[in-house]
Amino acid sequence: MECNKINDRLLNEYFDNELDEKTARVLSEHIINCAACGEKLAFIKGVSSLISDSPKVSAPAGFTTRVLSNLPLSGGTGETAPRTFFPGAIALNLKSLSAAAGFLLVFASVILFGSRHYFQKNVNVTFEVALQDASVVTLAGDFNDWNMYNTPLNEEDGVWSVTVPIKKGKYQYSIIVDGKKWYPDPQAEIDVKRNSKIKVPAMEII
Amino acid sequence: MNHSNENEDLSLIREALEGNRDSFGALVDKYKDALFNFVYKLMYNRDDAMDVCQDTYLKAYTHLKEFKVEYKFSTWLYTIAINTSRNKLKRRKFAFFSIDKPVQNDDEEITAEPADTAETTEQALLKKEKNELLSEIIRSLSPDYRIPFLLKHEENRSLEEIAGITGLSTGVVKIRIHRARNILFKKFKERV
Repeated sequence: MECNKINDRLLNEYFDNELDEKTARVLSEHIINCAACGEKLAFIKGVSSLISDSPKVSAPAGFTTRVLSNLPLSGGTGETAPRTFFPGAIALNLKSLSAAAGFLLVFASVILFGSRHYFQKNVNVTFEVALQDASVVTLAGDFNDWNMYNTPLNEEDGVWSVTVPIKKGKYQYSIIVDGKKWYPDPQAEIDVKRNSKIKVPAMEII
Repeated sequence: MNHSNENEDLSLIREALEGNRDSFGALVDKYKDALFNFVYKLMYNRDDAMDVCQDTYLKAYTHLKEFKVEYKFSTWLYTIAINTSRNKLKRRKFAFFSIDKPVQNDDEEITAEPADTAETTEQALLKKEKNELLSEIIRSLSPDYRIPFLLKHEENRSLEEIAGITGLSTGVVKIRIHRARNILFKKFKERV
């Protein structure tokens, strides 16, 4: 039993709700009067229900433990070491220094290395951008080693934002949308002096 | 689009890249059941499914730095799983393999039916039979059809997601799913 009027693709699209209203209505009326199409559609519905209702198998107990125990040891992901503040021979982890020692070192570094970033003090900078139809938005710049994954923005009503602590100074930055588009392009330079909000200019996504 | 879910995955990925194994563990936990279920329905052998899933997570971990922000982690994970499954399925052609006896899930007793559905034992048995027959016919599909078909029906993924996972165009994915249904229809009619 074959239907000569409706091709197979249309019937499937009808089942998957991919047809526009008008075409769907035409098909619907045809199916009522066509045994071949009716039977086929019923089958697809049946298979779909059977699979949806079928028992779902769970991962065996201890699955995650086993995965973790098989992971390569130290440095397996190959992530590069975080950039240290002081270039050259002296590589120090700032977090491990006490406040007093830290101050002395900062003072020394300003004189000895002439860094652009004069003050250790962080200020809070909020990056804000209005975007439509974006799924994932992240922030990259000099202050985070241009790491695309590090700093995701959060969305509220089409406005994406994130607040990051940054040392005062000059930086370039970009917002990356869905891993593809970079704003601004070319990168703008900002001069961070105090707590501030930066509204990223973005082209409207068409 | 579930932003918070994707942001959560991104955070876990970032932490894992910084060396936090517990964060990777959380990612494993999040997707392990759905992944195992899918791979099992593809392979129909628990040991093979276990091997594929373990391999998939291991590969995901070692290639984590290549993960791109525009992907959904689950899409990326399934791409790896499917490539791994395909290799295993290819090797089966030349080896003696076993397919698990149909249906029985360790945690589930098929005879028990919830009281409120008013399904008789006869109906339950019929369903069980249909399920077994269906599983058998799905297994007879070539992986090229089985994979998009299961991604659609078992996982309820969109055309775009299936295209992303398989590397095929949405047009081809659609055709494969339609053809899979056709084949199932024909084979089912032969048997019933």
